[in-house]
Amino acid sequence: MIVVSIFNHNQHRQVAQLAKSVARWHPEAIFWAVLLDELKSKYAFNVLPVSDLGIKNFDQLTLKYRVDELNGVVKTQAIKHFLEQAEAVVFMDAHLQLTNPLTSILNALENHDLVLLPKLTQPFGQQTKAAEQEALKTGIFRTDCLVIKNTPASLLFINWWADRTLKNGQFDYQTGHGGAQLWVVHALSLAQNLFVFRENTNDFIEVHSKIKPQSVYGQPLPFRLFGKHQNAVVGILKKMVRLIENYNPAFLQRN
Amino acid sequence: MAQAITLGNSLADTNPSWKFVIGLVDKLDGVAIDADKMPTFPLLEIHRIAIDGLDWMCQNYDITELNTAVKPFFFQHFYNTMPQVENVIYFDPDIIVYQPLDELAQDLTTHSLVVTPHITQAINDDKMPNEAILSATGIFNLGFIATHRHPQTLDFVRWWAEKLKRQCLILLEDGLFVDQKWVIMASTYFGNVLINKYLGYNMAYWNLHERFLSKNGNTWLVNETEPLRFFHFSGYGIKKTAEISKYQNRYNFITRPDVLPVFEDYAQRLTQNHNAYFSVFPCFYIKPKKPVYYQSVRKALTKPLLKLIEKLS
Repeated sequence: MIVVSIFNHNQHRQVAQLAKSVARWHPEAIFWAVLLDELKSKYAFNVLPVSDLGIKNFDQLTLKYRVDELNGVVKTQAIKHFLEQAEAVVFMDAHLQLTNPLTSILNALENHDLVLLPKLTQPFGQQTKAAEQEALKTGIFRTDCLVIKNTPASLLFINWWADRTLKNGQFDYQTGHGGAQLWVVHALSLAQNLFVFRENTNDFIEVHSKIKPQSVYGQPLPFRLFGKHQNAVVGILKKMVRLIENYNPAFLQRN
Repeated sequence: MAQAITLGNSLADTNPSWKFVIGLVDKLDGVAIDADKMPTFPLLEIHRIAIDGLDWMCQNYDITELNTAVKPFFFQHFYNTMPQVENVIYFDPDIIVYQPLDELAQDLTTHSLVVTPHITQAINDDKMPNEAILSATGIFNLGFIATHRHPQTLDFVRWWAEKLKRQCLILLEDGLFVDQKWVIMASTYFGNVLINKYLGYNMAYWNLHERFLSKNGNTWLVNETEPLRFFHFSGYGIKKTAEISKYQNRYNFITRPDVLPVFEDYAQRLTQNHNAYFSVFPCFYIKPKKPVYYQSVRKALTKPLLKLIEKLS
C-alpha cells in the first residue's frame, strides 16, 4: 500500500507530520509526497517532484489554473501515477494525520475497488443546512482522503477522473465545473464497485493544521482579480444581471 | 395528459397488477374535458394532498420547479393514507414501459430506494449534454425513482420534502437543479440505496452514446442483450418529430436510425391519446408572462456587468 500526499515548501512541516503518523500506524505502507515546488532540501520521507509525474504542459497549467484548481489536477495525476505501481493507494492531504490505523476503510477495500468519504452523512441536522448546499455545489465527497485498489475497473475510473480534471479542472459551477471534487461525484455512476464510507472518520483521521500553498513550482501564484473569491463575484454579477432583466415593480407590488 | 395516459396504458399492458395514479399539477374544477377523453386512471390534484407550503411554492416556483417539488408529497400521501401500499414508484409522464418490471419489484425487497444514473459510460465529446452538465444538473435522473416502505424510506421522503419546500430551484451556480442534485445526497445520507445501472432502465437522449436498440421478435433489446424495460422521451415534442430531444445535439434520426421506431410509435400513441386536444388546456399553475418594460435601460445596465463576467470567467 502506498500513502500519497502533495505539498508545497510552506507545507513541509505538515506533510512531515502526516508521514510520521503514517509510519506509526501503518509501518507496512510506503509514504510518498509529491512536491509542487522545486526540490530544495533533503526530506525525511520519499519525495517525488511534480515534474516526475509527466504532466504535459505543466507550466501552462500553473497559469491556467488557480492553486486550488491546480491542486486537484496534481492530486488526480499523483493518484493515477502511484496506483499503476501499487496494490492500493491511500491519498491524504498534507493537513491530515492518522490517529489510528485505517482498519475500517481498508476492510471496506477488501470487497470494493474505491472507497469515498462523504462530506456529510447525517440528514436533518440544523448545522448541516448551509453545508448541504455547499456540498451539492462543490461535490458531496471529500477529496482530502480517499482509498483505491488497483483493479482494471478502478484504473479506468481514475484515468477518467485525472483526464477530466486535467482538461477541465476549473471552478465554474454554472457550467458544472468544480475541479477534481465535482468530477469525482461521477464515481456514483461511472465507477465499478464503489463503497461510500458513511462512518465517522474522526476516530482515525484528524486535521492537524491547514496552511495554503504560497507558490507553485517555485513561481509565485498567478495574479487573479478577486483571488479565490473570483467565482463568488461572478455568481453575484450573474444574479445582478438576472435581477435587472426580471425586475418588474408591478409584479413586486402585487406579491 | 396525453403523455400520462400513454404511460398509464403502457403500465397497464406490462404490469397489470400495479395501480397507476396520475398526480395532477393542475385543477379540474371548471375545466370541461370530454367524457370520452378522460383518462381511466385516477387523477389526484396537488391541492387535494397535504402539501405544507403549497401556496409559497405556487407563488415562487416556475412550472418545472413546481412539477418537481410536489413529488415527495405524493410519496408521503400514499405512504400515510394507504397502509397497504408497500412500494411507491414515480415515472415522468414522458416514459413508456415496455416490459414487466419484476426485477425492480425484487430489488425493492432488499433496497429502500432505487435510482438510475444518467450515464454509466464516459462521454467523449463536447456535445450536449456533456459530463459537466450532468455534474451541474445531477448524476441521477429523477424522471424515475422507486421506493419501498421502510422507516429509512419514510425518513428519506420527509427529508426530500423538506428540501423541496423552498429549494427546488434551477440555480446552477448555487448547486441547485430542482430535485436532481438533492437526491445525490440520498446515497450518503441513507444506506440501502440501489443505483441501478441496468441498461434497459431509463434509456433516453442522455445515454444514447452507450445504448443501442435492436428488436428480437416483439422485444426491444439494448445493446443486443438487455431487454428494454422503459424509455424516457424527455425533450421530445410531437410538433418537432425530427428531433430526438430539444435538450441534446449529439444525435438525430439519421445518425441513430435504431431509435426511430420507438419515437414513431410514441408519437402515434400520443396522437391516439388526444395529445392535440389536451395540449390547448391552459395549466392553472402556469403564471402569465409578465410584461417587461424599459428594455433599453436594462440592456444599458447589464452590458458592463456581462462584460465583467466574461472577463472574469
